[in-house]
Amino acid sequence: MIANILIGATIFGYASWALVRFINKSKKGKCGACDLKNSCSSNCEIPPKSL
Amino acid sequence: MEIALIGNPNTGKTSLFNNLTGSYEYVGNWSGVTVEKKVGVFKNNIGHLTDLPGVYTLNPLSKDEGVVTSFFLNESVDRLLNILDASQLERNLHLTLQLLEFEKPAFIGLNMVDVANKRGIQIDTSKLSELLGVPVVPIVARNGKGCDKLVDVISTQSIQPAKKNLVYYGKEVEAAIVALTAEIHGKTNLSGRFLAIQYFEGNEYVRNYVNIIVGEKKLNDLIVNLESTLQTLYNVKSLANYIYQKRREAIEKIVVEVAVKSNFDIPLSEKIDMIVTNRFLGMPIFLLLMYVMFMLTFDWLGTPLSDALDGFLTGPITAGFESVLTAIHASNFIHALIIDGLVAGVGGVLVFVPQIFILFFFISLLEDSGYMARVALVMDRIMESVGLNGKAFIPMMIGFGCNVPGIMAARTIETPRERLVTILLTPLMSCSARLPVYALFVGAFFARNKALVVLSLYVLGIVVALVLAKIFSSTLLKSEASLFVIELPPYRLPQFQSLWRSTWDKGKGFVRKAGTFIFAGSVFIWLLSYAGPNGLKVDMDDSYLAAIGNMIAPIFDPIGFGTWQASASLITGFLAKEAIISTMNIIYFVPNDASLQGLLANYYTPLAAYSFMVFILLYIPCLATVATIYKETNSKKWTAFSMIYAFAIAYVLSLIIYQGGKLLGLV
Repeated sequence: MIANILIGATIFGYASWALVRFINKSKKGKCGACDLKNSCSSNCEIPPKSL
Repeated sequence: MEIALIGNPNTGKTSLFNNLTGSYEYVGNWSGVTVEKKVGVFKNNIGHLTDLPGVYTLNPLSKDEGVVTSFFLNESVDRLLNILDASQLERNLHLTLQLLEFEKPAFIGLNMVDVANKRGIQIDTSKLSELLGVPVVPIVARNGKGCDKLVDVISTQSIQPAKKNLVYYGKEVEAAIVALTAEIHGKTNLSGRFLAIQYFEGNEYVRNYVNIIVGEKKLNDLIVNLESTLQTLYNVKSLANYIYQKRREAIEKIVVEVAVKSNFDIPLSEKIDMIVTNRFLGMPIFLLLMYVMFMLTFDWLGTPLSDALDGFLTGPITAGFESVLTAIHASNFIHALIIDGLVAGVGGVLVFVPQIFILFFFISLLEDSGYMARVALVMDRIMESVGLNGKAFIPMMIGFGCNVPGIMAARTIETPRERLVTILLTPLMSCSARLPVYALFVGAFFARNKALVVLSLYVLGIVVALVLAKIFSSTLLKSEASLFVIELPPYRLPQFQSLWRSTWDKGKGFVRKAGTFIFAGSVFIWLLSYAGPNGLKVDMDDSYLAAIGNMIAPIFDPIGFGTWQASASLITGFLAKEAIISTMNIIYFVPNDASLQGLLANYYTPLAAYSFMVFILLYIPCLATVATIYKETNSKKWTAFSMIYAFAIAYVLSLIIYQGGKLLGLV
């Protein structure tokens, strides 16, 4: 019984989180979702943070 | 000390910049344009090196190129470092002569001497230095050879500006130069001769600059008189043209003295290009290569691997989950959630990883080998005839992988109208997320012609884009023609490691999405199909999912798939195109892909299947793409337009195909 609740909670929890995160990232377009956004200079006026 | 690094595009400026500087002082954007502004600190700390955009001449063709003239007019520069490609001396010297007219201390880094030697060209650097009046240092920027000497030469304080007038522009122009110089005397620190010549050549930025300090009317008369005199006396088309001729004569004299050409064979690259970019053969060759690529992806390599993966997922993996779940006495709900929801939904997308990776591998191969640049050239003729900039090819090519970076790449197009048209049309390029849908349906309905059918979809996307480009350019978005200049890099055999990295870069997004969004989507879609208004574990036709699907299903009746299953799948497809497959896998729950394909035959006829695939090709960009369009155009109107016109075109084409096909007796 407890296994059911545990499994169910994990799956639904992760799924909800992943869904919300995906929709938010998608709404930001490319740069919001990109791994390199902290060091890329393709659309900023200020120097990259890591330097 | 401020030093400016300037030269033609593709001469190795970036390599040289990296060799000469130790660290960045500033990296960002020149304001108003997309090119990067890079200022670095010289390695031995003698000053700053500013990397200017590559240009063939100071007279700019675009705002990006205008950055260079603006820099010379408005910012302080102490020394000029001009980088030349030794194998293209005539072309490079046009810029050099203009820079020398600027009358600041200049130095030349003669790059790619090794490439020139391979082509049978030897340059006498000391003679060149003597003729130009500036130090010339041979370098190979790629490996740093000669760069130390270059730094030494630049740091020497005692260099005086070269005072030689290398080009004599003829009696009339020289007189006009003197006249203009007299007008601006005392009003600027910049070289009068430089400003005069650039003014006569029509450099817009220089004209604006000079017109502010001297009355425009006076100079106008000067120019008009000068031009008509030259046209009468020397039969030239224009003042700018005359200046160019004079410069070219001077360059020819220089090159004759410094360059020795020995006999050499036409490089293999050029021999191949004569065939591949041939007017008539270019396009068919490209289509043939695409066909072979799809055959490998679907028939020869991809599908067998995919089937094996499918068997593995639906066999051992499913059985594994089953036994674990039974062992821990999981409830029916959990059982169904994991097996019918997750394994079906996520697994259904993961089975297509082989095809995706194979396709990306071949695209990377074509890119890294240099062939893609030739394709851009071949496509350019067609694209210009429908009003698209040839540069639009790159965004669209990227769009075949994923529309989002494709739309971002449209930034390289300067004309706003052409850029907007490109952004609107890139979503028509069939992205990789749509591939699993095609793979599923061609496997079910067109098993013997898989590659051909998929190729037809890709080609259809391109054709629709071209037709719409023509329509948009002639009606809503008229624009002036623009230039397309591209340098073809030599062919090379890509290294396996960089190929693998390119492929993995493109493909890992697909896998990551499967683990995140597809996972989440599968859970919720399964839930919607499991629950209904009457409670849990209902018949699928009575589920919430069916209810939602049934609301819009009637719209799709005329185009062959007016079922709730198709509608529900299409709705999820807005969030991510791969989700269409997940949804279908969950809805038509069957043990494996093969039976799914068999089952599909009950719900679709081959004609309806093709209509469905065409609809998916065109119907609406995914959420991420829509968001990117909004960000890049900054206009709700155009974003909405991109969604609406896509749906309309998709519907109309599906309608034509389905109803037209029925009329013709197809099924």
